[in-house]
Amino acid sequence: MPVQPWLLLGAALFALGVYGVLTRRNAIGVLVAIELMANAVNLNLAVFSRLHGNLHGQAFALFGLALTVAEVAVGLSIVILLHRSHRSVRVGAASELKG
Amino acid sequence: MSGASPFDWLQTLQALAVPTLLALSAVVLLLADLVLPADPHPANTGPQPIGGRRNRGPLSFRELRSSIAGLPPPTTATAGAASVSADAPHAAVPAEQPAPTVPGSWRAGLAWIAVGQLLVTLAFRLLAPADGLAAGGVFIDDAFAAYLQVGVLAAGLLAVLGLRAHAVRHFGRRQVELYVLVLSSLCGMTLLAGARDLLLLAVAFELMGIPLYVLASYAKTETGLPHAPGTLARPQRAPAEAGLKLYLVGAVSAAVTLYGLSLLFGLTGSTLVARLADAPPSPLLALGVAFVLAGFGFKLGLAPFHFWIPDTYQGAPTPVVAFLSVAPKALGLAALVRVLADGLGARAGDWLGPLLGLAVAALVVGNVFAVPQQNLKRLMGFSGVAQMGTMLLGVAALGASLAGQAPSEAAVSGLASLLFFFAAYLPANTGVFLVLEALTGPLPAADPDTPHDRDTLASLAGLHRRSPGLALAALVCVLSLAGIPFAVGFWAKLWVMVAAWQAGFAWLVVVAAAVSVLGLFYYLRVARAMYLGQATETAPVRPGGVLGTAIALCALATAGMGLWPAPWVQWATAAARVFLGR
Repeated sequence: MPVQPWLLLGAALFALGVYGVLTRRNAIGVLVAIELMANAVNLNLAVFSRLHGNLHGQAFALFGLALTVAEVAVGLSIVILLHRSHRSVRVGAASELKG
Repeated sequence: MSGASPFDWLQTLQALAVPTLLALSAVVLLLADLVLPADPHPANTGPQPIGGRRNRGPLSFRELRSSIAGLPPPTTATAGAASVSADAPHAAVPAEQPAPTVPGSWRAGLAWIAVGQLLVTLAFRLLAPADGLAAGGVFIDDAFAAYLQVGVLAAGLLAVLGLRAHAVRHFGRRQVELYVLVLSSLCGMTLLAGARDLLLLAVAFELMGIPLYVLASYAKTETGLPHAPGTLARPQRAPAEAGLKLYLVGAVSAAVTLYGLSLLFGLTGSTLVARLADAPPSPLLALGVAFVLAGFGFKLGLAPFHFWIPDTYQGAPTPVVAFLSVAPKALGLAALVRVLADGLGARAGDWLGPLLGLAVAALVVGNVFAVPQQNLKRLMGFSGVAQMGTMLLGVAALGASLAGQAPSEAAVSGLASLLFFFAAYLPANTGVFLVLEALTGPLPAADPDTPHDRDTLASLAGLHRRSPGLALAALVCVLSLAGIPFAVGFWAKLWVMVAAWQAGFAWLVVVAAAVSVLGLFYYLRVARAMYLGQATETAPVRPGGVLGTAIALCALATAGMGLWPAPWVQWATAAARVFLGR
């Protein structure tokens, strides 16, 4: 199986995620972008698992999915807290702390 | 993921005893919290910080109390919490029932269960032999892991003691969750201490990190603010911002690290860290190492990835910062060392350069930016960046030795000095934050218009008049952090620098020593504010017994380790030797 196209797809997904994290102003948009980055990781793991002919990578990807879900659950809760305290889910709204 | 060797349950359970104990403790505490009846005291029922409770329409306190009284105990817990959290503005609390503690409250007592659980786990860790493999080498329970586990358990103990007064005062119904979160995070840390598999490393890292996101965003409720009936009382703004920043940085850094780990996995086809040594040199390897270093850089708050640190420290609850600022970072560094030394030791020449860059950047940026800070929490944040930079000197010495550029003894002293630095840094840093908590914790949630002017150096002014004991404890901790001779921080810094010097990084030691002079300056500013500053307040500060005990423990540990560093040095050296197999 040719690996390069899949790795490039993973890299593109990851780059898209990084771009989203850097440009999105809406906190939920940022969370979605982080999801993209996490899924690029999972794609990589699955591809390498296939390449090496063992299931370690796929097991890793399953754990990765579970970790991302747990992380996003907490992230969305924090966004709700942000909405309650700042009446906004824009990342820029939370920029009052400074020296 | 051993495959070859049969799975030995007993051995695995034995090796994983400490994380298992902590996980069980967290579950027990959570169950105890669930079955305990809701405290009918209105002050003990603050609104929930994070969603999930439904708004049930306006309800007066009289109705609320009768509704609580009319329900059987187990459902009372949830129903009472739900309606109170949704509808009870603090403004409705009668004036004769001020917010602070309810001494007889069951929930406040649960903190002692957490303390007991931590003490039992700590005792077990100290008594049980540390030699075992779990699941065929995925987790190793050796002297290195045991040393780190003792450190994080002590940090957890200090965190629970430091959190208790804050929790009882501000978080009421949801105070026990704090301890559950601390225990969960500790479970992740103790796993991380011995993880030798990329998969376990990733899981333990998240288990350590996710509870911290929640802890940092644990918001008090702004009292006395008008809000429409039927809407939720507004939570304090600063913790939300602190939590969001910590979360975004944590989640992005986890994704970056995992991307790097996925590339490293791809090179070998095995998730075992040790197998990384077989990876052939390739651009993919370099890329993977770069991603892993950047991801850890974010997580550890190394410059130039440190921007979130001061904001998070400033906004999060102070006792949480006391916990957040040392143990997770030290364990993150330990995990980095595990990957770099155990897995990529033979390629040390490749990662040594970027690591040195990170160390210099952290030392310079941390020390320089700490100087103008007026807010003590921000100052401690930047100085923490500098301290992490100092710890990287130890990793650099280790790397130079592994790369064959330095004698093998440099590896041992590099790693041992790193471990000793952690032990020295832990009580001193925790102590400073806890003293600040004693000073500012009793104040109500900040006024939203001027939320951040309370943790300033000026607020420390004249502390020695208001509470000589607190000022002395803070002085001991600050002097140790500054690295004044005969304080433990001095021995730690000296040892790290000697190790780096032995490894041939004389220039790095010169840089570190030069910027440490700045550290002397800003840490002494803290001491000066406490002892020479003109107090605007004169009321004595009384931290209360539990917080006072935690502060005393921090100060005594710092002073004691400074006067008798030998046993700790030996312990750290033994742990480093075991890790390196020498």
